[in-house]
Amino acid sequence: MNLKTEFFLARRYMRPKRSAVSIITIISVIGVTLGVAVLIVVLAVMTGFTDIMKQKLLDTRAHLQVYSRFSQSIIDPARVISASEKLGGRAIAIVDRPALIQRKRSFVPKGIIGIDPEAAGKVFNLKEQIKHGKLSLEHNEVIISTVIARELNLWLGDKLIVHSPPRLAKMFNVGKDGKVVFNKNDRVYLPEEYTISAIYSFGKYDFDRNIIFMGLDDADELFQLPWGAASSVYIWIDEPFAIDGFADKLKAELPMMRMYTWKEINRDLLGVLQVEKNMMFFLMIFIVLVAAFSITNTLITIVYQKTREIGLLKALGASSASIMRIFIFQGFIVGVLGSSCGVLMGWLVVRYRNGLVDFISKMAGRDLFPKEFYFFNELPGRIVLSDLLIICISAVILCTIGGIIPALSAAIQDPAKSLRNE
Amino acid sequence: MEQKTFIEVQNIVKSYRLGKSSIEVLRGVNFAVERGSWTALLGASGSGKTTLLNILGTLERVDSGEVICNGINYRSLRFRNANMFRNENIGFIFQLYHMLPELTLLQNVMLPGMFGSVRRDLKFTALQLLDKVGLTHRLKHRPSELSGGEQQRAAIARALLNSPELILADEPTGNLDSHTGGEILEIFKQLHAEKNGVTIFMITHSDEVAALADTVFHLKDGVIDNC
Repeated sequence: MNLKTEFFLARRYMRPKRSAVSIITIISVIGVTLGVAVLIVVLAVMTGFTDIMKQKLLDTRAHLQVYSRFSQSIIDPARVISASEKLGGRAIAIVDRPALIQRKRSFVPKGIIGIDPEAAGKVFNLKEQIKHGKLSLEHNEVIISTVIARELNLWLGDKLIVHSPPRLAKMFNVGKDGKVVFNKNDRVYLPEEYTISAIYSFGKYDFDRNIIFMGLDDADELFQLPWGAASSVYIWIDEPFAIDGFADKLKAELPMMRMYTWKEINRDLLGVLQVEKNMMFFLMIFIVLVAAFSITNTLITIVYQKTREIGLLKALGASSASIMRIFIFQGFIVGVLGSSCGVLMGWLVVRYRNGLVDFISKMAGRDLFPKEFYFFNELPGRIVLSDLLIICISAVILCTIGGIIPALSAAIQDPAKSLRNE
Repeated sequence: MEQKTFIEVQNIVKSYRLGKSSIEVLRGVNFAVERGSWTALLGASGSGKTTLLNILGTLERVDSGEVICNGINYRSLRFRNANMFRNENIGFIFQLYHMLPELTLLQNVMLPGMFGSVRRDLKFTALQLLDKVGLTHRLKHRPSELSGGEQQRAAIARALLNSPELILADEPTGNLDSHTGGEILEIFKQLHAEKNGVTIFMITHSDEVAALADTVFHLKDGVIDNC
């Protein structure tokens, strides 16, 4: 094998000169460049979006949620908190239950999170998310989100009527015949009335749309839990991605507790994001595939134009395999050049994405990514080295494969016939 | 002791398919060429001269008959071996020079060595040969920047790079004016005059060129006609 010679000749054949072939070659390189750049930008934005989603998940949900195995509530949450803190976690007792919000004559289901406001400030980051009013969860006070405020037309100081499902359920019994029987002996439970003390926004739509905060004692009372009990304990650690190891250690300490990590709880969402990213890669790689076809076209033209030279190379002792490799190398070179330029272009676009989005928005006369829909102030983007490698390697492989058909046609040429073809 | 006969051609037949019919170009060609000799092959256009040259250069295979060069029967050469044999033993010179336009003159001359198994002193050998044909001042020029005569001199240097024992030349002066053609023939004369000189097998239309050769063969109707 004379790889050095073959690579040298391949490079020479690709060297741009003022001919139609060199223009087609440049177009092929541009095709690969665009394909690779688009792939890098799309995957970087998908990664950035996933990062933001994960961050929002970590802001709004605990890294680990602990529940009792045998009861609806944890009677002594301090024990779980203490065990967690010994392992380096930050934990708070939570009452996390669904409730019905009365709006005139209709009910709107929402989730109630009962917390100790001081403890919540340390781990939940709630204080920083307050947009109106101040963080206060005194008796009969609640904090709602901007989304709920808009939905129910509420503001600071307004009253919120909350029905507790356990209380409602207690008013009725289901008889042996399957009929619902009103509990005549029991008292009639009335809904609770709360005052809105603050309005928050975590910027995560599904959380903001559902969650209302109240004091832990109020939540215990609303859901008829023993005083000081919690439905669960929420735990945060410094390295959320190392939560599995932490959970295993805590399980050993607290065998009576069920635990769910944030990854388990959000498995579907994270899975969907990964599938979306894979799908994007699959769709966008077709751009590179089209570019690879254009390389095939270019090389077929080059093989046709260089028929006599191929004959000469064979006459000088080049084997068919050598000739084949010269043209495969050309596909490879276009792939490497296109990928390199694509990486640079992709990096520049990702680097200056927000300026570009602003510019295009100004030119188009409308906001491309309205904040009220996307909940982020700027277009997310992060280039991951493994994505970059996969994109570049795929592009180079496709381009090299693109050179195989022309290479084969060059290799099987009869040298005597080629030389006679004057 | 070295054999005197360098090439032995025995009753070779070669035909081409042209649609449904077959054209027999060579119909039992027989001849022998001595080592270090200069042989000229004359014949009308389409008489099969280039086909015969290609067969001697292992670029084409015969339908029947034997070609033995330097003791090696061409039938024993497989495709890969034929490439190596050609690279190491045969130098080609074409009427239209066939230089690669993307390469400089020096790179063109080095080309056979770049495909060979031994790459030692390649540049040095190429420079020596270019000096021999008087082209050291044109090393970095592209073929398009050279005259026909210069290109043909470079093609001779290229053919000699791997020190082949056989030079196959297909009308090397056919595309040149008489003065430049004369310069090229001078180089051939020098090659022939050298001790342990190469064996030259040259196709020509010119009786003057043929007169310089030790042996002249006439190819007529697919056979050697030396009558």
